[in-house]
Amino acid sequence: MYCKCGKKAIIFRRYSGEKLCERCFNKSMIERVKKVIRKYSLIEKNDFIAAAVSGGKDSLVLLHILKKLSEKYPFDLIVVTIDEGIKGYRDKTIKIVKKNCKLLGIESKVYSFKKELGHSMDEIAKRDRKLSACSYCGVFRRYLLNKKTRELGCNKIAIGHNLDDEVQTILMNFLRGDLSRFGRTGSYYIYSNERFVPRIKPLREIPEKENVVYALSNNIEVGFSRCPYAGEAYRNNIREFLNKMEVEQPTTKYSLLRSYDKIYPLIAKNLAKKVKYCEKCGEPTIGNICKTCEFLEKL
Amino acid sequence: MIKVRFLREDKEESIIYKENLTVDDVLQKFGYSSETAVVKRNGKINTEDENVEDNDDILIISVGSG
Repeated sequence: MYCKCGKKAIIFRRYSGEKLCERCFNKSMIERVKKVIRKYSLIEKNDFIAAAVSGGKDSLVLLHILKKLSEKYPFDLIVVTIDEGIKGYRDKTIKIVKKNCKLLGIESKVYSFKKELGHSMDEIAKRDRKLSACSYCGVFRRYLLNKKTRELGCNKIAIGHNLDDEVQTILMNFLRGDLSRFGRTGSYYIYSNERFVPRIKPLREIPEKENVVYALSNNIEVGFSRCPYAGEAYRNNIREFLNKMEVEQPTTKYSLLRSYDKIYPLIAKNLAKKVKYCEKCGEPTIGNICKTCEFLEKL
Repeated sequence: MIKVRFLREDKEESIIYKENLTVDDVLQKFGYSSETAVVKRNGKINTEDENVEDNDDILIISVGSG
């Protein structure tokens, strides 16, 4: 299989019919991210962006691409990593993040659950709890990312959500009947407030597989290990279903995202809830008490 | 014989070479598809339609999440 330029292809995009060599694929990746950034005005002049980098393939591919773009466009970049306190897993990926930051010359900050909230994920996982470890982790991570990036003076948080993450989330929330969350997966915000740092998703139209190919072809050191607490069965079922559908009917994932993006302006205003301030900690929330305070009380 | 290594799972297996065996056949044999894994054959990223040769070194990188 050969690329249109005549070189040997390293990837076949079944959804578009493109066969691309390493050089054309890398060029195309950058162009597609730029297109998403332009389409949704994700990055503007003089933005101070915090890249949320865990050390996995998605966030590190995002970081490398943002670094490339920051050399050409006027925005500043810093890396923020949340250390959930998962021994044998996060400590290893933090080392990978630091190596990448050193290589790219980007300042990085690490904030830990233990230091900031008093509990590590290893401690939480050992407890008798009603919710999954992922529920605590997701809530605490979003809370810390928002709080710390705001304190750093950042006006946006860039996260590495890819096409697969987006369509899984859309379908999951729809099937669960969680319409409040269903109305919050778009590429822009309906409601915001001054203590809320908007999150941008420049990779939302990049299939997960292509992030792996980009990391491999650019020799980006990424962590491929899996979180020992990962096991969101529902998401795994949705992932399997969507992958099976994509093999049988390429473009399934893009069609789902496009459909969602078309109805998003119609549903978001009705489904999204206004952002208030937590009565306990003052952080942004849609309830009276934020999830972090609610969970911390139970621990 | 073809050596098949799995990066995320940190394991190794071997399969017997057959004529016209493709990268996609190898993926399917181990429960993967073009959506769920990337393959490096003898150190280079390969498309799924490529033929596999005897004594090849196949590395399967599960796409997974993270």
